[in-house]
Amino acid sequence: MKVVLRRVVAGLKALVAPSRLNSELDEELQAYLDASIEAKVAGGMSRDRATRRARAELGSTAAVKEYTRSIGWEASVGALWQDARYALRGLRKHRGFSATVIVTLGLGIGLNVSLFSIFNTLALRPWDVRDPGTVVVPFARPVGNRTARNALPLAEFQYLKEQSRTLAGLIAWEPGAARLYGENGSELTHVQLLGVSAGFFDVLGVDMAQGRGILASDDQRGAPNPVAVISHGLWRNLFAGDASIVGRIIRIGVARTAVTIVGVSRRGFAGIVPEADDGAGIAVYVPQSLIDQVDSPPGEQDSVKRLVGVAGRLAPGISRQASETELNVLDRQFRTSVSLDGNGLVLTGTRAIGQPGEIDGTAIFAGFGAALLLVLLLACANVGNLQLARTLARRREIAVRLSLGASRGRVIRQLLTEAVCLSLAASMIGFGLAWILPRLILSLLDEEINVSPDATVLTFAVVLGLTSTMLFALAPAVQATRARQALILHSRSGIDRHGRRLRSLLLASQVALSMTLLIGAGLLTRGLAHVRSADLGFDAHGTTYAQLTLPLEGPRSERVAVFHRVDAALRGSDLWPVGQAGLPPLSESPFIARVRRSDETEEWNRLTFARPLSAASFEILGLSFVAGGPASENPDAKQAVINQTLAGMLFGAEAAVGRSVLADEEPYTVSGVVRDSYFTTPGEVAPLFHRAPTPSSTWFLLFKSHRPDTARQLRTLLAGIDSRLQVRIAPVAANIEAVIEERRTAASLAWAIGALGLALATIGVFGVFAYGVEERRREIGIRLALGARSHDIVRTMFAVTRWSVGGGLAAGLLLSVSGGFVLRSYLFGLTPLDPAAYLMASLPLCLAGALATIVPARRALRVDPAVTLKCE
Amino acid sequence: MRPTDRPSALVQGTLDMLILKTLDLQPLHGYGIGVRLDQISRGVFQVNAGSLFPALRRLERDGLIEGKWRATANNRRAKWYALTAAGRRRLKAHTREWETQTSAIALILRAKAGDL
Repeated sequence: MKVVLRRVVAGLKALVAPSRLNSELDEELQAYLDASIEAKVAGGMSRDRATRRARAELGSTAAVKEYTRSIGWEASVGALWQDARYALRGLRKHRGFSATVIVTLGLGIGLNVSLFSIFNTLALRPWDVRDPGTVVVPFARPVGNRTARNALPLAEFQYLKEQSRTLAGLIAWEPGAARLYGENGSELTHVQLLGVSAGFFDVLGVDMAQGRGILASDDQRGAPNPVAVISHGLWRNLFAGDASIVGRIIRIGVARTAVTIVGVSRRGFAGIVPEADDGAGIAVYVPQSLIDQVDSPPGEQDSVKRLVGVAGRLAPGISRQASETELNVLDRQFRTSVSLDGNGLVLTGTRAIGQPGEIDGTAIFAGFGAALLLVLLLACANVGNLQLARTLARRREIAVRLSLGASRGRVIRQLLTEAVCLSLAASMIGFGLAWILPRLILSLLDEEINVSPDATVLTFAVVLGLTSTMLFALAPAVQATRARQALILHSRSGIDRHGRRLRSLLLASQVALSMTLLIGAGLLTRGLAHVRSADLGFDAHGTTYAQLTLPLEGPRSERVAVFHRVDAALRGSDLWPVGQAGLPPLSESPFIARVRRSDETEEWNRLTFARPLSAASFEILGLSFVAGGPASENPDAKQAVINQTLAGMLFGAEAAVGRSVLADEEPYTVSGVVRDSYFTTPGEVAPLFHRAPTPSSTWFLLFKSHRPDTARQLRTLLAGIDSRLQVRIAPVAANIEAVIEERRTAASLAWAIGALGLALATIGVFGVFAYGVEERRREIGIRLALGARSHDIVRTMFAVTRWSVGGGLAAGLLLSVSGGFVLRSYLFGLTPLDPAAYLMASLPLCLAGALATIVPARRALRVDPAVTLKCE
Repeated sequence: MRPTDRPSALVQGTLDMLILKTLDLQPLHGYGIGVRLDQISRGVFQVNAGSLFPALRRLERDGLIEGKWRATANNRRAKWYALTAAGRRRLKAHTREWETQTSAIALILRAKAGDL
C-alpha cells in the first residue's frame, strides 16, 4: 500500500517538474561517463582512447534516458501527451490529408450515428417517466398466433386493477384527436388527446407543473364537471404560461364539451404513445370516460371489445416475472368469466424494442445498419490506403526514431495516437451530422419524430470512431515499424500480392458501385424531364378538368338534383362535348374496386382502380377502344368499361365484351375494353374499372383545352345552376408536375448516395495511387535522373490503378445497363440506355478520376532526382 | 551476460536483487555498482547503463534505495546510492526465495533415473 502511494506521489512529482528529474538524470549519466573514463585512464589507457571507449560502452544516452524515463506510470501519461501534441502538429502540417480522412470517416460515422440516433429515439429509449425500469406493459397473446401481441380489453384492465397484488398501480389510455375551442367557442387549435384512467400521472410518476392530475372522481361517466390536464407545451404556447390556468374552461370536440383545466403536466413530458411523439406530443389529457364525448368518431362502447393501452407500476420488491405469473392467473379468470379466448399475457418494459409490432422495424434498422456499416467499412479501407501511403512517406522519420532508441511499441503508439486524433474529430463530425441528418430525412419522409441525440448516441459515435481507428490505422502502423523495414532505410517495401489483389478488388467494386449509382440517378433525373413530353396514352396536354364540389349540408336528394341539372345544362350548351369523371386522370387516389368474374368466388377479387368515366370522357381524352364501346349513360344499365390490363387479368385471351363481372359485389356487364394508358400515374399501367359516374358531392368535368373561353363560359353556366357550387379548374398536365415533384425527392436521394459513393471511390483511388507514388519514389527519381519525360512517369503511375479502375468502370457499365431496366417504371418510357443520362453521370466520374490521379501524379513528378540519388 | 537492448522481465527481477546486494555491502554510485557487479561475478555480469539506470530509478522510487549527491574520490559529484531499511528487508526476502528456488532447481537438474 505504502509502495503504491509512494509511486503515485513520485509520478505526480515527475509530471509536475519533469525538467528537474531530467537534468538530474543528465548529470548522473555524465558522472557515470566521467567515472568510466577515470577508471580506464587509471587502468593505463590514454585519456583520448578511454573517452571513446567509455562512450561506446555507454551507447546512446538518448536511449538510456528514454528507458529510464519510461519507468513509472507517469511516463505513459507524459508520452501520451507528447504523442498527441506531435500528432496534432503533424496533422496540421498535412491539412489535405487530415481533412480528407476526417471528412471521409465523419461521413461514414455520421450516417451510422444518424441511423442509431433514430433507432435510439424510437426503440431504445424508455418512457420519460420516473423509474421506468419498474413500469411494465402487459399485452395479450391471441390464440393461434405466436408473435402477435394485442392490447387489453377495457373490462380486463378494470378487473386487473381491482385484483392485482403485484402491481402498485395500473393505468390505461386511449389516444384520440379533437379540436380545441375557447370558452366562448372560438376555435384555438387541433390537438392530440389521450383519454387516461384515474391516477395516470401518479402511477407513472409524472410531476405536475401546475395543479393536479386526473383523480378517480374525475373518471366517472357523466361526471358533472369534466376536467382536463394540458401539456406544458400547450400551456406555454396557447396560454402563454398563464399562472392562473387551473380552473379555466376550454371546449373540446364536435360537441364543444366544456371542460375545466385542473393541471399542467411537467415540462418535457410528451406522453407515452410513440405515434404521438411528434415534438408537440399529447397536448390534452382527459378522463377515459370523457373521450367518447370529445373524440370523433366515437369508439367501441362494449368494454369487453374496447381495447386500451395498459401499463402498471410494479409493487416494491416484486419482479416482472412474479407479476407476469399473477396477471396470467387473473387473465385466465377474466377470460373465462366473459368467455373470451386468449393465450395469456406478456409483460414488456417501456422500451419500444421489446414491445410488439416493433419486430419488423428492428429488421429494417438491421438492414439499413448493415448497408451503412458497409459504407463505413469502405471508408475505413480507403482511409487505410491513405494512411498506408502516408506511413510509407514517413518511413524515414519512423526509421530515424527507431534507430535513435524509440521502442517499436512507442512508435506504433505514436501512429495510433495520430489516428485517434483523426477519428475523434471524425466522431464529432459524425455526431454533428446525427443532429442534422435525421431531421432532414424524417422531414422529407413527412415523419414527425423528434430525434435528438443523447449521451448514448455520443458514446456510440466515439466507439465507432475508435473502432474505425483500429480498422484503418493498426495495420499500416504495424507494417511501417517492421524491423526489416526500419533497418533497411532504402528498402523497397510493399504489401504482399494477396493484400494488393484484395485492394484492387475493393477499389474496382467501389468504382463500379458509384458509377451504377450515378447512372441510376442520371436516368431518374432524365426520366423526370422526359415525363413532361412523354406519351401517356391519352391526351393529357390538351385536356382541362374542372372539380365541382357541393357542401355536404342538406339532404342528398338536393345534391343529386344539382348533378343532373349540371349534366342537362352542359348537354344543351355549345360547350358540349364535356366529359364527366369521378376522378381526374393522373390521380393516385386509392379509390379502388374489387373486381372478379361473376363465375368466380370471392377470393379471386382483383384490386383495381375505380375511375368512373362518362362516354364523352373517352372521346375527349382520346382513349380508343380495342373492343366494344363506352358504357351506357344510364347507371341502371350496369355497364362498365375495363382496360386491357384488367381484361387480361379477368379473361386472359378470351373476348371480354358482353361478359359479366362483379365489382364490389355489384354485377356489371363489360361494354368495352379500352386501350392501356398511364391513366393513374406515368410509368405504371394499372388495372382500371370505368363505370358511368353517379351523383356525388365532388365530381369532375373534362373538356378540351384549345378553346380559350371555355373556362369562363363554364363558370358562368355553373354559377347559374347553384351558387353553392365550388369550381376549381386546372389543366390535366398540372397533375404531371405533382408526380414529378413527388419523384424528385427520390432522384435527389439517388444523386446524394451516388455522390457519397463517388467521394468514397475517389478517396480510394487517390489512396492507392498515392501509395503507388510513395512506393516507387526511388524508381521515379532514378528514371527522372536518367532523362525520362514526365508523361512517361505519369503513364507508369496510371498502371497502378489501371486494372482496378478500368475493371470497375466496365463492371459499373454492365451493372448500370441491367439496373436501368429495373428502373424502367420510373423512366416513363425513356430508354434505359439514354445517352444523356450516361453523359450526366460520366461528368462527375471524370472529374473525380482526374482529382484522384492528378494530385498524386504531380507529387510523383516533383520527386527530386538529386535527393533520390543522394539517398542511394 | 550479453548486454541486451532492453532488460527482460526475468533479468529485471534478478538485476534488482543484485543491485540491492551490492549496495548492502557499501553505498556506491552508478558506475561503481556496474564495476562491483562485474568484479564480484568475475566478469559474468556486465550491466550496461541502459539496464542499470532504469533499475536504479525503479528501486529509488519504491523506497528500497536512497540516492544522495556527494563528491567522488576524484573530487567530482555523483549520486551515491544506499540501501534503506525497506531495501534491506526486501533483499532478505529475495535472497531466501532465491535460495529456495536455486536449490530446488539444482536438485531437479542433478536428478538421475535411479533417484525416483
